[in-house]
Amino acid sequence: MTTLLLNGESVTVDVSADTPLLWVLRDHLGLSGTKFGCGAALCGACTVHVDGTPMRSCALLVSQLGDRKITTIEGLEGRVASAVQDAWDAVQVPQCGYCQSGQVMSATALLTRNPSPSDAQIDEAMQGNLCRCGTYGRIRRAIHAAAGKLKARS
Amino acid sequence: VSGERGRGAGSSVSRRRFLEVAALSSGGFALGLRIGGPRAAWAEAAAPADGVQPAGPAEPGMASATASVDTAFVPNTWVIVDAEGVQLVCPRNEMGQDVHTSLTMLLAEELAVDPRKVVITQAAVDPVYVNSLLGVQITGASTSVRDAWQPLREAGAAARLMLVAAAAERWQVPVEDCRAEDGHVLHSGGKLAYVELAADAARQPVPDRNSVRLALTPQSAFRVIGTALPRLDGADKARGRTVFGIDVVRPRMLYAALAACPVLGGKVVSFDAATALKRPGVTKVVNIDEGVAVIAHHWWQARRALADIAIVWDEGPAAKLDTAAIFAALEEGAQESGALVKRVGDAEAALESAERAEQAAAEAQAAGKTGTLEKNHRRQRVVEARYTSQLLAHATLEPQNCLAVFRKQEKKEEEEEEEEGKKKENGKKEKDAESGPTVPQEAPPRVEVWVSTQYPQEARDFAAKAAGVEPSEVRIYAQFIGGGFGRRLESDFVTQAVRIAKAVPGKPVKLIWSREDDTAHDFYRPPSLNLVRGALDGDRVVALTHKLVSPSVTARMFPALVEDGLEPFMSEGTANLTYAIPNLELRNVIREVGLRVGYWRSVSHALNAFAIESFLDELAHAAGRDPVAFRLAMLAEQPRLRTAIDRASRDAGFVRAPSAPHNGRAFGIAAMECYGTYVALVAEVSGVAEAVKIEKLTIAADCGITIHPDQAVAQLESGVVTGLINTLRAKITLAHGRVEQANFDTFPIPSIREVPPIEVIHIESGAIPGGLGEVGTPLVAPAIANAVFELTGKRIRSLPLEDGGVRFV
Repeated sequence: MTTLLLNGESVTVDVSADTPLLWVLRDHLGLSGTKFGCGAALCGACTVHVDGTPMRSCALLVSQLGDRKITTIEGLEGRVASAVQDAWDAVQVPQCGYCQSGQVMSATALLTRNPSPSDAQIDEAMQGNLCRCGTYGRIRRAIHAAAGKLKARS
Repeated sequence: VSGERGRGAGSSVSRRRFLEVAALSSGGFALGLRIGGPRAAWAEAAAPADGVQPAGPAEPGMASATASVDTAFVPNTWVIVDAEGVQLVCPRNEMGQDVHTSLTMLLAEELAVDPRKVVITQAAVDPVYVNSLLGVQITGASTSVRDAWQPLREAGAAARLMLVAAAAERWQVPVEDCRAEDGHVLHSGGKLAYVELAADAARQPVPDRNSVRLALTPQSAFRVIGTALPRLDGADKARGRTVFGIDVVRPRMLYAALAACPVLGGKVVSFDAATALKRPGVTKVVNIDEGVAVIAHHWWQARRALADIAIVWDEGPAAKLDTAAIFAALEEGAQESGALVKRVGDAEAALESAERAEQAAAEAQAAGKTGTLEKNHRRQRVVEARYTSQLLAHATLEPQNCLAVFRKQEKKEEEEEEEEGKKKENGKKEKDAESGPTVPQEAPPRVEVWVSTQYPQEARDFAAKAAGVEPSEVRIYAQFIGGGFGRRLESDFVTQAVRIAKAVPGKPVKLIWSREDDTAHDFYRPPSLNLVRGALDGDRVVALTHKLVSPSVTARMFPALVEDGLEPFMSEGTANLTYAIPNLELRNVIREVGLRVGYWRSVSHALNAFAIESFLDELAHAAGRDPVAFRLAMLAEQPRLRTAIDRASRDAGFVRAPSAPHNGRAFGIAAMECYGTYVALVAEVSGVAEAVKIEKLTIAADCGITIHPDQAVAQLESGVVTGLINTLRAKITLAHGRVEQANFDTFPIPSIREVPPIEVIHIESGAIPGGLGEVGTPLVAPAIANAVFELTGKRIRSLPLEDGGVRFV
């Protein structure tokens, strides 16, 4: 049995220690907002927050997590996350949408630690999140828009 | 596209169909498009689209077909108006191209409802949902809006007329005094909501086609078409709530992972699964010939167990295939004359004459002659080139997957098994409706499939074949697609999932491919060899010949469409060549190379545009002309393409570099008509050959009336990024029959860092809608290649361009 601190709750799952967090989320806990894309930390579709840091859940073994706080797209909340998701709506970012959970997770983490990132900082933070539809231009615009909103509110 | 040339891949029933109505027991009506023949034959699949239920609030979003409808009619329905509101039964699949929102907007425009209040139900497989431009139930070839444009608006207008008539009858006033607006019928004396009128409207006759056409909203009065409505699926997608095929969950579901033969076409000879079967969670190991599948309680258990299975393969005929052999086959194919796509004048004669003149001019120069004849000879020139494109994977971000359940015919046995299974659920009583919510007594279908597919009709037929049942015994529940690009026109993973599910009757099994499986078991974009020759007289192109040599996707998928070697999808970009050149000979040669190939976003438009648009640049250079002016001179009869070129080059600040190498910046242009849309693309690059930076891509497109302009722009942006994939460095290569790439490290798709600013110029021409989904893709490679030539003096004739001796930063 492994206990995880997930989306603000303590959750116990019966899985082998070598199971990646991604599959625990998707198959055992029914949290399918976190996506499987590559299984090798190369695409970012499975991005979750671990103690607020964006990490690839396909490359994190469930046994490595201990009492670190895990947040998935389903548990994402707060003013930064809202600003990001509102900006995603306003700029109309998603197309197929498959990568967007991961994009939103990475963008939220970026704006949490850097409230007004430059284009280069956005590229740096987001380069691990692939979008096969090519929504990158809108992602950049949405991050700037969210940053603007956060600045106006603060 | 083939449909535009009057070629349906299936039947040609679409022309004869028109609307029919059915009253619903729920007190409303459904409008459908009826095809001749007994109703029972196609009344087969009232889809309980469980998997597509949104996790969030139901509106807007997808829902299952209303439980209380007359199921005999529902499958053929496009529009339902009842006490619940308005439903669109969407015949096309949403893969990011905005088809759910765009088609809803078409309906909402004519039905006078708020598109955000329309509930979208994904259509089942039925002849009525056949794409009239393609002849099969397919989402592809940039046809969805073009196909739906007329019939869906007509369905909306007909429904509106019936609702208005019902209101007029109730009020006892002339219909002319009533009008429909925002889900209501209005009259000076009152206002009635559609939901109140639906039952009465169901008793109204369907207006005839002429009345419906007269009732269509004129373009000047559009209220929905052309507006900036947020995508109906956008908010869910930004919040992880959208259910894709890979996310569908069924009660008592098992998972499968597959060890497919590393050589495509190979088969299992024998295997030893003793160790794998001992692993936790593993329930069964199944031989499906093309591979060995592990079924387990969870996917990771299945995936891990694969490593414990020792498999002996018969690698089959492709065991020794490599990239060199593939291109050697194309070279052989180039010796054939192939099929004629288009001929104007006599290109061979014109080329010969130009060649002779060129030779005579050379001899005259050597002899020191400078008369008028010699001058004329000097004006003539023959240019020749060969272009190649490497294989490409589709690399959809959602790996291929399919959830299937197979049930045995012996009802009792099966029910027992299912009952037994339910007991094992530890009292978790699912009030699940495997048999559908409406008719609990009816036996469930033999096969049910939940899948991300662009081609549900084939998914159904392949599932039936794999299960050994009739297609009518299969239900396909098409899901939101995490990237299609043509990969999900294939149903190989459906066949696999059904074969695996057959080993555990009554139990749903979800097969998920790994990324490595996905990269190595694709239907690749065909490798191509394009041979081009052109003759110049001064700065005028007097002859052009082109031959595309490649394997054919269509010969495998729709063999009836290939006539005497002429392949409608290989002639894309050539059959519709827009340039006025007095002597043309355009051909295609189908040359199989021993590897399966598939349709890849923009199909042969990309292969042919790379060759032709690069070659025109070579001719412009040989003629000493500006490549923009050079193209415009051949487009006197093409005002829409002229405008696109003009806008793209002007907005991009296109200037021709005086000579290379120059001040470190250069432009390239390419243009074409594709999918009924006129498009031009300008690339601006900087740097040096070892470090080329793409500064900006500017695309101008005239796609006629645009249903959803913001998402039209998004599609063009997306198409351009897809074009970058085939331009920069990604390629699939083979050695010893095996694909050498496996994941995104070896088959890279562009990251945010690698995508330059993309400016989209949307030209409003008011013409009938053209396609959009693939339009952005084909011109990226030639525009960048042309810019790279201006920048570096290197003419690269192979894709990806990095194979030609440049590096992109």
